[in-house]
Amino acid sequence: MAHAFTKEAPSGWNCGKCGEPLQPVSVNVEYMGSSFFVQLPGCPKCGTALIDAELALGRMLEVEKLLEDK
Amino acid sequence: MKNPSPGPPVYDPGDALRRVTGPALRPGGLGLTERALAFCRFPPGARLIDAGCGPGATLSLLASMGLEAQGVDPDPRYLAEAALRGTALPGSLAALPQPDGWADGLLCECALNLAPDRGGALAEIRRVLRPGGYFILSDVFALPGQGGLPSPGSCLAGAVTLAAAGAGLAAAGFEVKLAEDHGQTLKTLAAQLTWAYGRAGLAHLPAPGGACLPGGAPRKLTYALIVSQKSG
Repeated sequence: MAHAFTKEAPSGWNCGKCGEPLQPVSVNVEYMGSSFFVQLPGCPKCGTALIDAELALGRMLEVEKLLEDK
Repeated sequence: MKNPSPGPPVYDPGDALRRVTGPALRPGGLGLTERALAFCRFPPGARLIDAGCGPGATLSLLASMGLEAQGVDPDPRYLAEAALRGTALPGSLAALPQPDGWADGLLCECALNLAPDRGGALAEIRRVLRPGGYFILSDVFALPGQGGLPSPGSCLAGAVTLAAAGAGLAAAGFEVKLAEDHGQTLKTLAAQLTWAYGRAGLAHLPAPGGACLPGGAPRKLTYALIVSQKSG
């Protein structure tokens, strides 16, 4: 499945648990009955994804409002 | 004879919609297609038409199931791509290229709303189906009491309520066998497009991606699958 939105992994960041350098990982986003895959910076070993404030308060919030019919 | 109009163009030059949906270019992707085909239980070799085939995602699926499929689309760019996946012929819902009674089934997935003459399109679909042939329709529908729809000239402009769609099918000589609401697929697509482009970005996308889902549209709309049979 194509990923329409890829957030580049910030350089120099490593996973706090595994120490692996972050790279784009496929993440299943699920909210209010909708589910789809996006690519986010994450740990290739444990899969933990990084969601920064810009994303959380930007497009992620827009999607939440849309699904909440706000 | 009137000059048949294929309706507004839906070619996606920047692939903005395809980057989100893949080649199916509609809510629900091939999942709803598979659902409908399982319901109809076409035998191997059955003849199917995909009216508004776009780049031909459904054609590949039909071929993989051993069905004889012909795609029809008015856009030569989509036809060139669909031809890589199966038989693809120029035409539109106003004038399908198949002879009377040729098809055991016809799929029209997220395309009927584009027909400027919905009644004429249903008559044309009925013409190419054999008696008892299946008409598989999936499209955007208007929710009752929600007022005017956005995006004149887009996929949404022709959206009718499910009740009106059922009445239209009956008037055109079809008997509805299955009607399912899949509104969640439209919400999910809206969410994917918003994630990919942002609400502000969506307003600037060319049709079909941008015009399909301007902000707030999903609350006025739903997506549904209706399978009917040619009666008489």
